[in-house]
Amino acid sequence: MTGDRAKLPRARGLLCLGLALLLLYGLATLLGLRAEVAVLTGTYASAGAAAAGAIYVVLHLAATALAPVLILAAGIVALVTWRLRRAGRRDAC
Amino acid sequence: MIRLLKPGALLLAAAIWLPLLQLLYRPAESELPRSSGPPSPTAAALARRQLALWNDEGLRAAELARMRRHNAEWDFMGRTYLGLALANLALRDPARRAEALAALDRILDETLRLEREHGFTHFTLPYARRGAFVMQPPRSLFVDGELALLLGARRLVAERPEYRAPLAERARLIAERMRRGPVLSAESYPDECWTFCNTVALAALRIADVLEGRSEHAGLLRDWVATARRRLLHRESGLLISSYAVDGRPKDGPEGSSLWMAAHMLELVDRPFAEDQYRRGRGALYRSVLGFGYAREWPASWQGPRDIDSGPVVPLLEASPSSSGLALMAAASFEDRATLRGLLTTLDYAAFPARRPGGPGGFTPPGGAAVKAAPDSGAAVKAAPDPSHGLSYLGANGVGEAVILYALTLGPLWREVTRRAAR
Repeated sequence: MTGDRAKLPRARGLLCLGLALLLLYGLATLLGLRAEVAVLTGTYASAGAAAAGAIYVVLHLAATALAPVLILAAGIVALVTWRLRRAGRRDAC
Repeated sequence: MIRLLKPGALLLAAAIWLPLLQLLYRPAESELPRSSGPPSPTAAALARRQLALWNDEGLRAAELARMRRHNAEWDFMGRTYLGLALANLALRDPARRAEALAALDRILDETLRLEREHGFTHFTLPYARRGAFVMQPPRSLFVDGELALLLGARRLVAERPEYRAPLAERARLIAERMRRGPVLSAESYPDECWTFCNTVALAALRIADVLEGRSEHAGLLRDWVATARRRLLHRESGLLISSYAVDGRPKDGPEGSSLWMAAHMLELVDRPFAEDQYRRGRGALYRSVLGFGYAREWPASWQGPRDIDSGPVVPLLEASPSSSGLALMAAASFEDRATLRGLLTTLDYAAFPARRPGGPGGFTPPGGAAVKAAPDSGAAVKAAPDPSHGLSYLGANGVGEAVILYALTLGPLWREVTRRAAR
């Protein structure tokens, strides 16, 4: 148990990835990529617009379906490790 | 044990979040289409945007160019769906009837003019010019059927004498050509009959009969359904195939982009058959994942080619935007609220609605007249509606938005046909 505690996973990686996805999505929205999502119906002005639209769609899916999962998982990991550390400190006392 | 903490946390988080995601996009009960009464706030906002586009030459030219660059059919079909939606809006809200009819008349007059000046191929894919039509002289049931349907819809809302002869002539041509075919079907493209177009034509004939108080085409309608049951059903699924040669040889199997429209049109022709097609289509093509509904283009028992009708298909899920949009229309037509809710949830999530200032309400932009016209005169006076007032779906194109608007407003027009037929 002591060895396991030493290798307790950190929530920071999950949290950073989740927040990074949200940030990228926000940035893409600010850059106006949302206007190019007509690529979904095959109606696009140019190859560049199609690529921008496809990137935005992927970011939309990632930010709405994946990022909350990562942030929630980070919260779960943080909660479990906090409890394990607290239990460990109590054992040590 | 500790090693499993991260994957376990991810699984738990996914199990918590993913089923909840749909709740952010699920439509309120008031947003579900109703078969009568004023349009929902979403439908009203969408109508405002569509009317504004139609009334602003610059915006409309840009949208038409965007669609026609890919498919001239979309230009034509956008007119049909918007026109049908306007007819339904006129019946739903008598206070806005004049506005809706004026816009519908503009659509009809301009479409008839373009057909007169450039021929039917102005609205078809280029291969309509390349091959030889089996039935001579060449005509496309795609264009004839939808124009007849629009003319009939206009006259059902309020009679306009100028449209009586064009509808009668178009109905005569349609019926004559359909009767000539061994499977009672006419071509849309050279030696290519489409269930979509033939069922639209049947609905148009039914409306023409109702308007004249006759049953001139009742035999053709009945015989077409009997022939379709024998010759045009896909053996494995029992669904109507989507395209076939003039002699009835199948070309494409069942496709969502044809089937949903066919079921909706057949409601006016043979309701039990239409309901059976809708029920089978729902079983074979509709899917729901975590509360998000979508429709496939093809059933599992038949894989068709990806083409301009199917649109891009989402891998793995096999979700088709065009089949899903038309499924929305069929679900509204058959008042299938569970399917409607699933499809509208996906629409809000994946079609990227852009809500513009203006707020919900009628389909006239607040503070500005959209179209002023004498009732039923057809003389629209262009005003200056603000196109930013309304709702647009960035993930759709003009025809997609018109289909959505029609899905959200349909009901009164078909009921009017039934009411008059009973009389």
